[in-house]
Amino acid sequence: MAKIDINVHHITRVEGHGNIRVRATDGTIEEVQWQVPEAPRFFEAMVRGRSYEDIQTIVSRICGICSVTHSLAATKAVEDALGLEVSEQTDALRILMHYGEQLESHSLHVGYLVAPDLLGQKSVVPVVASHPDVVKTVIKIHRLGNEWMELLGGRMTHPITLKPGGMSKLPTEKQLLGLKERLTDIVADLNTLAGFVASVADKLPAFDRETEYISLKSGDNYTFYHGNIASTDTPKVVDIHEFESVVNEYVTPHSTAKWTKWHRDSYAVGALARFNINSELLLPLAKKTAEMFGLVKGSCNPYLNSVAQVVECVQIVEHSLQLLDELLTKGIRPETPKSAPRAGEGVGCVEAPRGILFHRYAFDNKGLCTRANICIPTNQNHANIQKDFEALVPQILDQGQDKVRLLLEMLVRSYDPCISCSTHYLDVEFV
Amino acid sequence: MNGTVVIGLGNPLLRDEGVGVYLLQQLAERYDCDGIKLSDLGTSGMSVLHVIAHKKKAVIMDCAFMGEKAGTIKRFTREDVRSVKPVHGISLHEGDLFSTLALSESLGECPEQVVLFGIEPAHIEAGEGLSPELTRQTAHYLAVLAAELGLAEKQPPTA
Repeated sequence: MAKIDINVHHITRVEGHGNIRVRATDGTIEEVQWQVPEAPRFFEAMVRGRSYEDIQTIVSRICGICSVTHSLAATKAVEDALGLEVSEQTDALRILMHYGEQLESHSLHVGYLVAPDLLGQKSVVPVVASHPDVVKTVIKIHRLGNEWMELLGGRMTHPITLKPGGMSKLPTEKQLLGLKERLTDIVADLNTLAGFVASVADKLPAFDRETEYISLKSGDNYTFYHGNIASTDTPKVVDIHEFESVVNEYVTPHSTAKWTKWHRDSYAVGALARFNINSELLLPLAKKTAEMFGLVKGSCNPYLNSVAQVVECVQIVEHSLQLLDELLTKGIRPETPKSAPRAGEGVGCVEAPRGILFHRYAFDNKGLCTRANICIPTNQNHANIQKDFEALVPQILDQGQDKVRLLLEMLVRSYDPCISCSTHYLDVEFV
Repeated sequence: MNGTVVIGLGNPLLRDEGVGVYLLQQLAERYDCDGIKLSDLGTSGMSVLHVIAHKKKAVIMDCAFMGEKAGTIKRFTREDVRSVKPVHGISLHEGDLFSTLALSESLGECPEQVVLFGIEPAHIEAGEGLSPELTRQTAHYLAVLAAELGLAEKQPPTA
């Protein structure tokens, strides 16, 4: 058997990327590693000494794709620390804003990163020529997600309307009606996207590995925003305030990022985890979409995370239409967020598109942050990616270097790790 | 296609990495930008696709490694440069502006004119505010951008 030496190794000038390392000779595996640098934890240092009113704005810059999610987790943690309650209206508007980001991120991931794999293309650009209708549908959905966030967050990314205790700017009923029209219209496009993914889903590798999945769970709905921590390995639900006892961060020799484990050597978070924990709570159209793919509770093929994302896109729109109806029936009432500093500590937990996210902050009696701890979903998936690698590589080693590399890259892509997410810069040479 | 959009990219909490966002804020404060859409897209590079769609002109400001002296500002178009940013497509977070512009073009919605302003960083590290090397030249950067966009400085309010 030929020698295999895969070293997808890129260190950018600003942040490192994830590296894939595999070495094997004559069928004997010498090295299989998912090597990742620490995610940008400088934010935890940066918020220390800052007012509770500024935290959500600062941490929104952690990531360009999950900025609403980070802002929401921080806002909830601050409100928890300060003992602030928000109105039902604020709660519904925040969930709606969060859904905009989920739709934006999922459609981007499925359409721009996964679809090219399934069509044998290197990027989405050649797919425009080969499957123009699919790309146009994806872009229409992604654009709606972006403009939805702009409507509720005040701008397309890094929202500015979230304040401890409420929202600084409320949408008008006319704007919400406009959003409802667009969401009603997008249902058919989501069906088109689901149909396309279903038509090529047989290209997703068949690879099952028993895995512990972790997500939020909240009694009566398929939650992204409320609830406590559930696992597929135990019926016990853990209060979010005890999240450190779930993530159990530890250091591994070949990665500078902290890894996590709970009941096993690793666990997975993200759309498939949410599906495996909450799928019986999906709304009818989303349930139908899952059935179209034959996706069932207990699926443990990590490549199916993308399929779970498609199901969630439908769920998000379906639930948003319900929330919009409720808001419009009651009418938007003017509210002004009120808060006052006090000493305390709080936790905020929401589901980022790529998995459960925890923020913890402590404040002194002036409302200045004295301590911060942020545990992002990507860090929680690293150990699981490594365990997937270790199980998958022996099964595919005979397929040759290029195919092994592609399948490992596709595997990493299915998790959509959030690395190099706090920067944007150009690196060019003049021609 | 109509209208102009000005986009600031980068992370203002990483010193010079956020120069694009910083300049966008300064333009809004100091210049009369009526009729121009200003967009702080932070590190959400893919959002560029939607903001530039069907505009006549897009001006994009970002921190750029160009092999120049720290603080240098350069105006260029896509045709003038080749991206050497290592991107291997495993994450949505590896923003490559040039791929986004190529996608925009293939969709037939890219502005007729896309102008990039790159500023060579001196310090990319956790912290707010630009490095002294870039701070010294802020007025120059704004003058260059204002000339590109035909903007006039705001007049102080009269008593």
